[in-house]
Amino acid sequence: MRVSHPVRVAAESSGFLSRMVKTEIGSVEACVFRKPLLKVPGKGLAADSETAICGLLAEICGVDEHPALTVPLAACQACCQSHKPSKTHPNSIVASLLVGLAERIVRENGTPSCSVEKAAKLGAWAEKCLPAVSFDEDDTQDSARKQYGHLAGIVADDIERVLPIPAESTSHPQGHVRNWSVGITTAPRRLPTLQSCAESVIQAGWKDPVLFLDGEVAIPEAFSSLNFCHRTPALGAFPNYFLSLSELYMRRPHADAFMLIQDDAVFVPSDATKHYLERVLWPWDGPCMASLYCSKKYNQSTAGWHLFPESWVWGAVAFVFSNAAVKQILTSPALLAHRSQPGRDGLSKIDVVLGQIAKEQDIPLIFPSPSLVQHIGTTSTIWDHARAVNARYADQFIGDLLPST
Amino acid sequence: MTGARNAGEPKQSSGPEGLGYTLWRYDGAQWHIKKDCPVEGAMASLPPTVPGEFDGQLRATSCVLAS
Repeated sequence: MRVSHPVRVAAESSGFLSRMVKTEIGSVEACVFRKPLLKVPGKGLAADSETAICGLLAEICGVDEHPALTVPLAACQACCQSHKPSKTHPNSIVASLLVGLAERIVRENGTPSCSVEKAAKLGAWAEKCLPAVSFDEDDTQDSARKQYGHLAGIVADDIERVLPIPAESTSHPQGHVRNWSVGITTAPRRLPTLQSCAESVIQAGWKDPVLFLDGEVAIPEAFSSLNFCHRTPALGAFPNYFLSLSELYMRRPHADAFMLIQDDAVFVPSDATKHYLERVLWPWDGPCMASLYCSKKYNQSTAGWHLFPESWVWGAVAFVFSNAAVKQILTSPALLAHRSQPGRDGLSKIDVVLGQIAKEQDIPLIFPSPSLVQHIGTTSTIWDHARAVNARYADQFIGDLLPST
Repeated sequence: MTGARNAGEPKQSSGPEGLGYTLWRYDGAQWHIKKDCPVEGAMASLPPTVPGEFDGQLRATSCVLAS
């Protein structure tokens, strides 16, 4: 492994974002792919015309002209409110339109620039780009756009009113966490979330998280003072996670709590979160682990902290480990056994392995419902087209339930 | 601290695998099944409750366990 200094940039950016810098992000007028069709006499093209040509569809298909490149304004509006699409990662609106375009080209036996075979492949690919959401979920929503700045002034008591502290924690004050070792794992994403994540972690009270960079990741300038570990070439999510956990222990072996956060997690932007957690953790001596993230799959009918009885599988977004737990996990044979699986099998499923180890070694795993952390990953670093939707999303997040201050 | 409910669900991967999916097409007013791809033992979920934005919009929903 070669350790080097990653590139530091002034702000997160993508080529698409930089082109929209002077106009409101999310507005139809700002879309660089949209070519309005309606001509207003004496005034040229009108940007709010009811139909337009979608240049991104044309680019993906390699077709210059086709009736199906014409899209309604409603589609453009929905697309601009969703996460930014690209040629390789269309959002669900672009994917829908692409399936329609591909089907028409196939029915027409191809075009000079798009054969039937190419169109069929594009259509199948576009279909796979549609995230499989729950029936009551909107697949166009971009969770990364939500802001929680209105909660900056909350205190721990506010959180406690929504998420009661377990009786075990109240009666075990000697177990309260005072020393933390905190890290954030990150890897290249088309739509980076590291800035949002790191900002929220620092605002939530942990001022010096260590950044564990797997591959070529740019550290936003605002975080240039943070300690970091840069792995190059990239190792993969699973190895990065457990090497990072090991380093958190090596850096602070006597910490009461080790928290490892994935870079697409966001906390409520108030240090009330840290103060609140120091009232909750740990409810008993010995090994214990807490997922601060509660997937939709694990919602409970009663608000509070719960003990997970089975093997956890939905999300390693933000886990906290007691000192005893981290030692058990890092020395577990299951860790090495999983990594030794062939090919890419040993590079993912962090949550599944953590859940397996917790179950096998009787490490209590607790979690809050509603979730203390939201999962905002629009593009996954592990799965080609997975997004934070459906079970990979907290539909009960404390940031949406707390009153403004 | 209470034990969590919903602990009886079958184990599933945290990755994109699952029970399959159903592809729905919006006609401007309602969603209709365009393609149904459940795995064995699964079936299409309820139709999407969030309306579409335009005629021709597609949405994929996760399949659910067959009762």
